[in-house]
Amino acid sequence: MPTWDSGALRAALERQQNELAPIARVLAAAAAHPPRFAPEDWRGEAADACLKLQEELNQALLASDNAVTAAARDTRSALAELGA
Amino acid sequence: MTIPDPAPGPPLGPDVFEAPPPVPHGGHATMPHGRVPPSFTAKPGVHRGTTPEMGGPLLVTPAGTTAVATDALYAHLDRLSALGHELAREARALGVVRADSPWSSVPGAPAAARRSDAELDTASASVRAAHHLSARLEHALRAAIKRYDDAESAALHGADRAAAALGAESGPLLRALLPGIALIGGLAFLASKLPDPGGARAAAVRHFFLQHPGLITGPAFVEQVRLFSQGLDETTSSFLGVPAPLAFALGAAGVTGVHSSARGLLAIGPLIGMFRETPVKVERTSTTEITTPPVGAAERLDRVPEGDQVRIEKYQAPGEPDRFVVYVGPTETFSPAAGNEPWDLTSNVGGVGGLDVGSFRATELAMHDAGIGSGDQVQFVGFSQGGLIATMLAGSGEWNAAGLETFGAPAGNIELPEGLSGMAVRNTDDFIPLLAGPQLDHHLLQVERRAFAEGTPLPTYHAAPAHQRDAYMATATAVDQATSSAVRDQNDALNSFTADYAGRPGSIVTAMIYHGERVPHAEQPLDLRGVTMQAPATSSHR
Repeated sequence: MPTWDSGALRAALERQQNELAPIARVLAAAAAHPPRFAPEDWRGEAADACLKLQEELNQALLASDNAVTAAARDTRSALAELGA
Repeated sequence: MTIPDPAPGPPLGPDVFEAPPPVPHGGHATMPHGRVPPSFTAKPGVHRGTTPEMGGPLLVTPAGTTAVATDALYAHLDRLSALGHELAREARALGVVRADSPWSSVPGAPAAARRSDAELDTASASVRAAHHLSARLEHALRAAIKRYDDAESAALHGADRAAAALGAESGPLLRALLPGIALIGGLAFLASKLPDPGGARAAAVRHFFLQHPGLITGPAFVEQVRLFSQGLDETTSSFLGVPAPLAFALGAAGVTGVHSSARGLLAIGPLIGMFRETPVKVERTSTTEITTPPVGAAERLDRVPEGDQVRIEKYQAPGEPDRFVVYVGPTETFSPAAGNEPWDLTSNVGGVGGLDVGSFRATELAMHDAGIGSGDQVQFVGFSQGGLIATMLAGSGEWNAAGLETFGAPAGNIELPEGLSGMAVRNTDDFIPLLAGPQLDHHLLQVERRAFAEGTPLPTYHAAPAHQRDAYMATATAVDQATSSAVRDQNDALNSFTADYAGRPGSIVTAMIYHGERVPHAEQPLDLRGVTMQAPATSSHR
C-alpha cells in the first residue's frame, strides 16, 4: 500500500479538483440543456416511446451532474480539511 | 433512373453564338448578406409577399438515403450524437480520475476525500447510463424515421401500382369514349376560335383560376399529378391496344415512363404545330465585375435571372483554376408553339423527356462563351425549368459539376453523380416538380416544405402560388435558417465554393448575362461552311 504524506495528499486532491472542473462544466451544461424534440416536430406511438427514453436520459444527465458536483464539493472540503 | 440521352430526330441546324457588342467592364453589383436578399421585399410586383412564416416545417432527405424527417428532428439527432460523444469522453475522464486517487484505500485520507470516491463511482455509472440512453434514443429515432418512411413508401408504391393497373385496363373504355372525347375536344377547339372581344372569355377563365388557387395548389392535387404521371404510360399503351398485363409489365419494368410519355407528346405535337424543336442562338448582354459572392440559398435564388435567361459568374483567384456558377432561369412562355423563346413549353416537355432541348443547348452555348472547359469546376443553380436544365447539365457527364441547387425543378428522373454538393428544393404543394414523376435519384439532398401550411389562406395573384419565385424565396430562407447538419453542411459547401475564391487577395469575380433565342427554321442559315457558327455547335451528343 502506498504511503501518502500530506503534501502528496494535497497534490493528488488538487489534481482531482482540476480534472473534475471541466467534467463538471460539461455535465452541468448537458443537464441544463438536454436535447429535446418539440411535440410539434413529431407525434405518434414511436414519438411517445422516444419521449420516454428522452425523459430517462434527462434523469441520468441530472444524476451525473449531481454526483460530479458532489465529488467536486467534497474534493474542495478535503483540501480545506488538509489546510490548503 | 435515367440519364438524358439523345432521341432520334431530324437535324435541327446549327446552334449559334452571337458575339456581343463590346461592353466595357466595370460597375459593381453588390448584395448585402441578410436573411433574405433585398429583392425579396424590393420588388412588390414580382414578390407578392409569401413569407417563411406561411409555410410548414422543412422536410429533409439526406443524400444517399430515402429517410424523410423534419429539419428539427435531424438537428435533434445531431445534438444526440454530439452528446453521446461528449458523454463517452467524460466517462473515460472520470475513470481516469477515479483510478488516480483511490481515497478509500489511502491511509490518512480526509473523510471528504473518501466520500468523493463513492460520488465518483455514482457519477461514472450515471454518465455511462446517460451515454447508453443517448445511443438508444438516437437509434430509436433513426429506426422510427425509417419505419415511418417504409410505411410511407409502401403506401405510395401501392397507390402507384393501383394507378398503373387502372391505366393498363383503361384502354378499351377510352377507345369507347373516343368519339365523345373527340366531339368535346372539337367543340372546345371551335369555341377557342370564336371571337372573344376584349379577351373577356380568357379573362373570365383566368379570373376563375385566380380566385380558386386551391384547385391546383396543395398536397392533394400534387398527389393526383404524381399518380397521373405514374399511370400515363400504362394508359397510353392500353389506349394503343397493348394488352393490360403487357402494358402494366412494361411500366413496371421501366421500359415506359414519364420519359416516353414526354417523347410521345413531342412526336405527336409537331403534327398539329406544337412542340417543334429548333436551333438556338445566344448573345451576351452584359459583363460586370462584381464584389460579393452569394451567401445562402435565398441569395443564390435571387441571382437566377429572368428575361435574360442565363447568368454565369466566373471566379478567378491567383494561382488557382477558374471556377464558375451557372444560374439558369425559369420558363419564360408556356406556349406550346415554338416561337423565339427557348425557355418554353417545348423545352419543358423535351427536358422531362431527357432530350437536348433549346434551353439546354442555349445554356451550353453560353457556358462555352464564358470560357467554361470540361475540366473547370461548375456549380449549377436553377429555378423551375432552369432547375431542370441545371440538373441535366450536372448529370450529363459533360461538365465537371461540383454543386447543384434547384428550386421547383421537374427533374427527379435524372440520375446525378455521387459526391455532388447542394440540394433540390421543392414545395410539396407545388405540382410542377411532380410532372417528371417521382423522385428517383437519391444522390443529392432533397429539401421539401409546404409553401402554404394547412389553414393558411392562399394568395390569389397567381393560379399556382406555390410554384412562384416568392414562394421558393420563402423556402430558401427557411433553408438558410435550417439547423440540421444535413442541410447546413450542403449550404456551407455551396457558399464555400464561391467564398473561397472571392475572399482571396487579387481575386476577380465577373458576372455575364446571356439571352437565348430560338432560330426559326425559315431563318436557318444555309451556309454549311460554318460562316455563322461563331461558336462551336454545342449540342452534347450523349
